[in-house]
Amino acid sequence: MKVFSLLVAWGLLAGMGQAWAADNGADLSGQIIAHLGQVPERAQPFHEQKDMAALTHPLLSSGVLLFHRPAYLEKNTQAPRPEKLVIDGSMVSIQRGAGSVHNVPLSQSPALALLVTTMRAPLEGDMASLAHDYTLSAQGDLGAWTLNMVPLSPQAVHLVRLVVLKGRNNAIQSLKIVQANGDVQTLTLDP
Amino acid sequence: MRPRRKPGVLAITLAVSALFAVLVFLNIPLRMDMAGFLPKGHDDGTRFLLREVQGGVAGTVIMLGVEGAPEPELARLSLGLHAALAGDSQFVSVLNGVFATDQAEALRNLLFEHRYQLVPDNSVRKLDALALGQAFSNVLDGLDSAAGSILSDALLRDPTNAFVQTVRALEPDVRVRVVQGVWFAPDRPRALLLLRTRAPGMDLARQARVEQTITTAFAALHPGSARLLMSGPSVFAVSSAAGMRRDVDMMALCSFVLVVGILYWRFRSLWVLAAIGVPFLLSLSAAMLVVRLAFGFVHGIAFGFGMTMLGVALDYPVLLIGHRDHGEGPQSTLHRIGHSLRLGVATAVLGLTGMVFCGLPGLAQLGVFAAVGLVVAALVTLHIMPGLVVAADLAPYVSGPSRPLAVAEGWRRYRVLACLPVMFCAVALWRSPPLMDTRLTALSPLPEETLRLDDSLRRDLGVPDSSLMLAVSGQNAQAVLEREEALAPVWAQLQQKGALAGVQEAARLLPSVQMQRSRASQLPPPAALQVAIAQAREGLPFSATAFDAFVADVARARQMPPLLPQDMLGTPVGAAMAPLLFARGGQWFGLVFPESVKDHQAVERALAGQSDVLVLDMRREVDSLSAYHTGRTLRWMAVGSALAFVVLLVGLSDAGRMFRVIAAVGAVQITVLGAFALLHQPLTLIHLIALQFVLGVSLDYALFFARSQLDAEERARTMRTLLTCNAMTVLTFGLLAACQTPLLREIGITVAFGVALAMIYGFLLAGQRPNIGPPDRP
Repeated sequence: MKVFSLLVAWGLLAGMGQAWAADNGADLSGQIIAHLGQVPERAQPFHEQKDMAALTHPLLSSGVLLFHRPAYLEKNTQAPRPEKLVIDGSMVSIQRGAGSVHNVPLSQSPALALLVTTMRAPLEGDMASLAHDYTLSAQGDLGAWTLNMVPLSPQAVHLVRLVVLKGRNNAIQSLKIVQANGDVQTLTLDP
Repeated sequence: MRPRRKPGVLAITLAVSALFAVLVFLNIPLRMDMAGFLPKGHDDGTRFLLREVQGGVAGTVIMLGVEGAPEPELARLSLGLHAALAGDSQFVSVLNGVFATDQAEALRNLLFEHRYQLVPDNSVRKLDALALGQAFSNVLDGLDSAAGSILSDALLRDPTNAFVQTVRALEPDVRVRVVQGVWFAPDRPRALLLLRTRAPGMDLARQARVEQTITTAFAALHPGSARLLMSGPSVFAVSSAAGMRRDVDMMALCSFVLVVGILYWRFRSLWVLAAIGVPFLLSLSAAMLVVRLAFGFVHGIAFGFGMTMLGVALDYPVLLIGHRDHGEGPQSTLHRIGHSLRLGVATAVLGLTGMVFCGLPGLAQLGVFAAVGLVVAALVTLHIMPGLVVAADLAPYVSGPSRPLAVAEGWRRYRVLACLPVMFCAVALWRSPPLMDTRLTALSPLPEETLRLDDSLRRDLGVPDSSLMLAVSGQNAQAVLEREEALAPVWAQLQQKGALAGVQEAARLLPSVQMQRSRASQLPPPAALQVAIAQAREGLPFSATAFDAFVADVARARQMPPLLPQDMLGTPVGAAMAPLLFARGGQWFGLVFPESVKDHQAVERALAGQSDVLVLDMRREVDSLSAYHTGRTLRWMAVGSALAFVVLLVGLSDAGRMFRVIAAVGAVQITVLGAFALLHQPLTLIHLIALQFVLGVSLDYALFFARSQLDAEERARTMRTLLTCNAMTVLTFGLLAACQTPLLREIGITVAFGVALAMIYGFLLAGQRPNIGPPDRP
């Protein structure tokens, strides 16, 4: 469980991001986010791939992603090793395997807070939170779109190089996060 | 034909006395701290440690509890308080499980960089192939986790988890559970916060502002049903000072109103009030002056008690005026009561010996204040009052026999019945003698439930209660840190035996330079590390360069200059170290607080060989102190009572009267003690002192009752006057029962009860019907 301890140890001493004015343009990206936010609950199987410079081959995992309003997101990894990540309001709890549950308030871990924003804010249609950390631009149309999120807040710049969301209408197909160190994490959601 | 009243002299005397009193009061401020009621230490070492405990940083700790609402709501309040207080410059630190984020970036980098020198656990520095193989599997598992991607760099740089262990070792040892990310008491729904203030604990004005800030912040969170609990030395100091101030103000005002009311009701004359005002003002200001000269300051409690003593000190002028008949000359009243009055003063003052000589400065002040007040009031009554009273022709409003008095006198026929409660109490006393409580906490001006709350908050938050503390010293900070590290095996052994849970010391926050060097030397050289990594990597999907940053960190750690205390200045670690490591007069000191000590003796035995370690065992200090003071008080009580007996023997020279007086006084003591036994109230030093005071006052009454009176009129005068005196004493001491300061409350209850009994038994047992005995001595 050391990764969670590290999360806490890192977070407890980490600085907080600064407030940035949200840019609420009524462009395509705004429409996409608004569309996504209209779905009150979702349950979708996912596949995840992590490509890391430190590793000779990618890490693969799969499970189910659950979302419901308000502000509840659960990433239930089933293979290769069960893990349950629950983001509920401003609390995150992580349980790996049969280990104990770790609770981390978002206010304590800015890195985790950014991850939560990246994953949950699009599902909530929360443009304000997204615009706080990212500059959004979109290609395509509402039927098939690609949303590029370039980090804006110092916290986001520090951790992330680029986030790409792909989808159709109000469904997300994939979420790709390019870390600041070049590692890539790709989450594919099965329809 | 009455002589014309000439109250001019009286008015002038009163004005002079008032001027004197005003001058004294303006120049002698009252002190409200508790220092006079705390032990001072038996040698230089313990005195030094006690000063550090009371005035040092241990005094700046404030513990908060929030309870009375569901846990999520309590967590919200805890987070809200943290947010409101963490940014306030009045606080050095605000902890609730969520860590403050300011100044943290720099500290985080410092700790991460120096992790291999700081981390106590040697196993994280064991970087061989086997240990690394295990560590790398954990890293892989971490990378696989949902949180892994955001922390991948840190995981790869620190595979053995040295940073987490370093931070963990710095965290206070709390016995809390974490609910929604914040601290909760382990056994009840109570959110906990631990604060440290910038202001010293004894700076009452600034501490009062700190409390104001906390309560305001709490109220601003709309707590609803939730309650805020606050504890800590400074909270005690502020609340007991405020409580004392309220008590003293209440006493001053209420005693004054009561005494004036009773006197006016009895005499219906403002001139009588003016006349009694003279000994009142003079005795109060003389007492202030003497206490100031003898002790260097006047404590608020002494003053409050002094106001109460009004009820007794004013007995003398009241007795004088009450026994005077209109038109009598200056000496004729004194002729009748002077002898009994002198005896009464002598016995009342002798009743204070226990208090004066108990050795505790706080209590001794009460005794000296009261004794000086009594003597001055009596002297003024004997030497200044007669002239004034006669010039103004003051006498009681009613005098002579009356029906109610006659009825009361009739009751004396059944006085044998008075023996029943006395015998009942004697039996109760014999069957279950009251327990002696020699703990000094019984003297503490703090209510017991406050101490219990403090205890439970300290236990949960792991705040040492300074009941046992140690100090080591050295030429410089490094010498102190090394000395503390040398003690580590002693603590480890005691911890293993369960004698204590751990220790709080500076060396745990920042190891000595020597220790950091020796830890760095445990790290393998880069080439050996590379070989170990290559071996450990086998069978795991890590690339060849995956741990390059880790190798670089270890190589740097081997060469890095160790961290010094000054590097920590301005960080939370520096703030935590400040109270534990400091210089005093060119010498450096380190304080060590053992936590949750279960076996004091084992700790003391373990330290027996360490002659340079100063040990302060507060409990032993307090116990020996209390036993010493109780013994001393008992001795002086015996001396005082023996002297009072001698005074009686010489003064009364009549075996019959002597017997009656002693019977009345003895009955009072037996009944009061019996009541304690029946109520299972353990006897403390305070009760002993109060009992001796009751003895003095009951002797005073019995003496007046036992005077052989010339006629029924004199008997009636005595009855009325003593009733007045008694009402004043019972009511003013009864007022003390309403005080928040336990010390004053206990004295008040005991004395009021005892003095009321003294009146009854004095009347029934010591009294003498007129024209029975021979006339009073000339």
